[in-house]
Amino acid sequence: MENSGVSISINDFVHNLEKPSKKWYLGVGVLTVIALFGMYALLRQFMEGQIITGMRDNVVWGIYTANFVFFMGLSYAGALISSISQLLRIKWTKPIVRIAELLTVSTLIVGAPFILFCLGRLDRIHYLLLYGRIQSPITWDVIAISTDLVFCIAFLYFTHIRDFAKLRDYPGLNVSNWRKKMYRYLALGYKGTKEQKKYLHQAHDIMAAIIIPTAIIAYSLLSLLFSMSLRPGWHSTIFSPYFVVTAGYSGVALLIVIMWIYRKNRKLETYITNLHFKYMSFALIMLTLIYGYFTFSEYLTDWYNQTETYHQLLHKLYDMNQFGWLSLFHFVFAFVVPIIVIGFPWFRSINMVTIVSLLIVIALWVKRYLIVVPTLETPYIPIQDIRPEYVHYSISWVEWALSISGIAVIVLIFTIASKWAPIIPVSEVADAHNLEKPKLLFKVRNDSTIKSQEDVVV
Amino acid sequence: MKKKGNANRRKFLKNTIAFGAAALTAGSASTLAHKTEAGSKGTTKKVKVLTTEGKVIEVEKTVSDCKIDPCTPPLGREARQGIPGRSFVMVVDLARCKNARKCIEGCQRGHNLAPDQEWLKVYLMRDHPEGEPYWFPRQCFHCDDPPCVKVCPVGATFKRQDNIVLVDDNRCIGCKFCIVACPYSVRIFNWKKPPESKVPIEEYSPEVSQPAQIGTVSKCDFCPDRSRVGKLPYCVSSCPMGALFFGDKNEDAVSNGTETIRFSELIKERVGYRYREELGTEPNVYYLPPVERMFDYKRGLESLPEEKQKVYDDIIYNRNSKKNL
Amino acid sequence: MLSYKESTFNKLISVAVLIIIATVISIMTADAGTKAKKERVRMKMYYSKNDAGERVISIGLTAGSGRKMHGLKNAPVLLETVFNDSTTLLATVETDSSGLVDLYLAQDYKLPVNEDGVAIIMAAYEGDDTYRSASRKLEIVDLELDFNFEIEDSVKYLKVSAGKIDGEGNKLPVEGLEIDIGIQRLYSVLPIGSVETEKDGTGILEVQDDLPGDAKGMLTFVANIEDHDEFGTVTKTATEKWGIPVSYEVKPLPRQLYTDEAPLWMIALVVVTLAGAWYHFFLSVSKLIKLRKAGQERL
Repeated sequence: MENSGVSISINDFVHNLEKPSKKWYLGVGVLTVIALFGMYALLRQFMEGQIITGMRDNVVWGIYTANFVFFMGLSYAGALISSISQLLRIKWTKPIVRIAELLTVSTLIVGAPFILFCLGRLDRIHYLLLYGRIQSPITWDVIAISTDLVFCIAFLYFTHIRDFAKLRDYPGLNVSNWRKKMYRYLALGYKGTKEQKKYLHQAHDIMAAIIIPTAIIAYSLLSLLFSMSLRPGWHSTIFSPYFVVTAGYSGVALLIVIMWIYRKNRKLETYITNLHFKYMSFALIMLTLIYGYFTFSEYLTDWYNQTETYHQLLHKLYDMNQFGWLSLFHFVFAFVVPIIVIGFPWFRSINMVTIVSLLIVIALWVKRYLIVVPTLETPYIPIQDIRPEYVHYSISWVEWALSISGIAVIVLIFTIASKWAPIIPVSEVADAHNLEKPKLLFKVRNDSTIKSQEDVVV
Repeated sequence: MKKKGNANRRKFLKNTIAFGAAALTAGSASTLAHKTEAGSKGTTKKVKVLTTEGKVIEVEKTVSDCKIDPCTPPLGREARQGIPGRSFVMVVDLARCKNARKCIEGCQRGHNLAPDQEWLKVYLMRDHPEGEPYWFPRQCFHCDDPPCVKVCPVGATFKRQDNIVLVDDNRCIGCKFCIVACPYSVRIFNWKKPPESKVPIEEYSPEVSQPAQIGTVSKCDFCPDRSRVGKLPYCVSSCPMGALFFGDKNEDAVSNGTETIRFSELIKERVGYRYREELGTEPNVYYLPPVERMFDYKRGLESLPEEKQKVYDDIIYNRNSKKNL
Repeated sequence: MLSYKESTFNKLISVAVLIIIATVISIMTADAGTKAKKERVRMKMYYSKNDAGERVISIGLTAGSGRKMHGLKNAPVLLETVFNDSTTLLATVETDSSGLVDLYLAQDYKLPVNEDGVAIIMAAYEGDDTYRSASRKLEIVDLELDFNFEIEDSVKYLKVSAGKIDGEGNKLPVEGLEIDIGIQRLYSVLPIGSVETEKDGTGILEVQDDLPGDAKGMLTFVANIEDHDEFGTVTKTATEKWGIPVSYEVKPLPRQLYTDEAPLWMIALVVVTLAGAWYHFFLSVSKLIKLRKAGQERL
């Protein structure tokens, strides 16, 4: 392993956690303003009704839903990477797991409300609990996402405990007293005894083990929001795995972008190395292929299906006067370009991989838009309406404002979180070499007559 | 049952007395059709009576339109039950529709909808490139296996035992999932503040669907509040062609206001079908095929303003989207 | 080209002038015409007798024609009866806002009839400055309809007999009278056929077996003659258990995807999944609690 992390110390990071620079304050200020503008847009929408959005009958879900799916998808990869690396004791991922976990939590926090922005009656949110019907995919989503959110926040916290302990024990830490108190409280009296280490590892492992299925279920349920409707392009059995793969794809791509940003801005080359980009871009190209496979299966099946509405939908997607350009953008940047740039060695550099990753993220947002909008514009009974806004969806300023403020909040969470604790999980990286063996998940009795030592299966 | 019998009789009295000759053959005596807007409860009306002494006196007479107990639309939980023993169905005779749009207007007036809100839409359909277009009125189908109800997260829309699918605007959170789930584009959303209603919010019943509330879903409700007083839905009673039939399948009778026909016979003789049976939603609206039509579809098209006619271009001239692929 | 245009222009002007003159003249004459000419009034009068034996004379007054036709409101109508060539005033009634008026005859009120049982009722509207007068005459014989339900060889026969009342109060069978038979439904009467009365005044209708009734299978039969020249409108109903009972009970809906209550397997699935997930969560938290305790013990 190139990056053993043996030499890592909390000392390298404390400076960063202490006094924020003016630039930091400025950044937070700008982001807050953008976020507040989004809140203003939401308030306007709440007061005036959704008439100020681009949504109308027929296209009743717009980019709010696309954003919801998109942000939730981003969260998925982070959860998966950090959980798997924890469970399988993968050492090279250690320096990036905190970024992955933060990505998970921040996108969950931002993504989940987007489905609420769709609600016509935000004042009746509590009805979801009061009158919840278990048959509705929305109820499943509410349950699954809130569970996922709690688990992911818990996991994020678990991986912070040892770093908090380190910060608590750091002599002369120049931060405000309440922060010191918080560090002390949140470190849970961790002193690094053997017993405590064991408990912490167990807690980590259990949490990691349960997060993987939770995230898969949560993201599969997201797809059911669409596939449970009798609509062309939605009513598809592969939608759940397709969504899961798309989610992982977009999440890994964004993770690469964030790694790149941190590496540039924080001089973290020592920890986030070439190796990480190498491995991550390998994961990315694998996901590109799997994603391409799913996309191909989906559209090819739809194409062979001669049902009229499916044909209308495909026609819309490939007609250059309708969604053709967006489809082309998606196809080129989510599939062709990644294969050329990462698949072949000539262009494969950190910067190129990052640019491609960013394009993938955008292309996958476009893909979500192409899932939501064209299908809604293609109902079984043809739309015969003279009002253009009822026939074709266009994004209004309110929707843009909320979308952009969503991105701003994610950046804000990263900005603040990396002031709160080191962005590189110091303790984990330091421990990477002398990790305990993975906790056994279960044992299998040996039925053979010869009494041997117990067989174990991981 | 005694109650029902009485109600029937009272209704009958009302029919024969007030309508005079107009009750059964509406044509000749339609000017005499006496519309007593007596309200839903049994109300008293003053009638002139010629006494034995030869004097005309005014006598209070209880006139009840009540056909179903209770006559007033129930509020809250009870509205979710449905009217016992009823199984409401609609039959649309496509051969009679000429896109007069009176059903839409009647519905909008009756339910206090904004002019751009249509619970009932009349589509121009064409089944295949060689096919002749025909007008296709589409209400809510009040499916027996309603996809919209399945996906509602709060039970704001619900299926009743009398076939009707209603929306409780007091509970709707406006997620629009039901609009997405409905394969027939039936449901509409109150994007902005709906028009003022005379019905106070305390008297809101899903059966009346009034007053509408911003940010909630609304749709055709089959007018159960009118059925309670023996009236046909607004669309049915305002159709000049008698193209819409409504009735109770359990009674095996549907009526368009002037004709009353056995539902089963009508469906059998005219080969009634349900729109997109393959979706498995089991609609309660039946269509009679547009054969031997009373009007050319063009008549319905020409009566529309020009910009509205353009909407149908696609249907009439080049429904060949497949060729482009 | 220019001259041609000019000439057409001149022509247009002269045509326009002519049209204007013609319009002015026609408006003036029309104005003068309406002043002299009163509006025509149409009167309709019906006699009906319902199931309860209530007799009603309904009168409607309309003025105008086509789309402009409207009811004549608050118009006084004189009702008279003619008996032995002498006219007796019955009543004076006033139409309501839609130009209609119903006059009920009290149960024991006897219309003067001749030996054939014919009552003659005259209605007259005198007219006023704007409306012309109108009148109408009705000759009515009291008709009684009766039902008889008979089953022969498990075939249901509905017998309807019609009898008119003559001057002495005798009931005479009416022959050749067409009577519509129907069943009372929620919104209207469902016609099931019609009978023509024989010499004895009865007509027979075979009633189908497959008619759904109410909860007990009761059917309300309606016999009706409509605006008959001699008898007016007469309706009679009777109830018989000849229908198929329809359940009026509200049965709870099955646990379905579309009902309020979810299918049990679905609840079970959600509960098990959630229990599994949260069990692990709390297991993991319990480890942290142990961790904390271990730290405290050390202190």
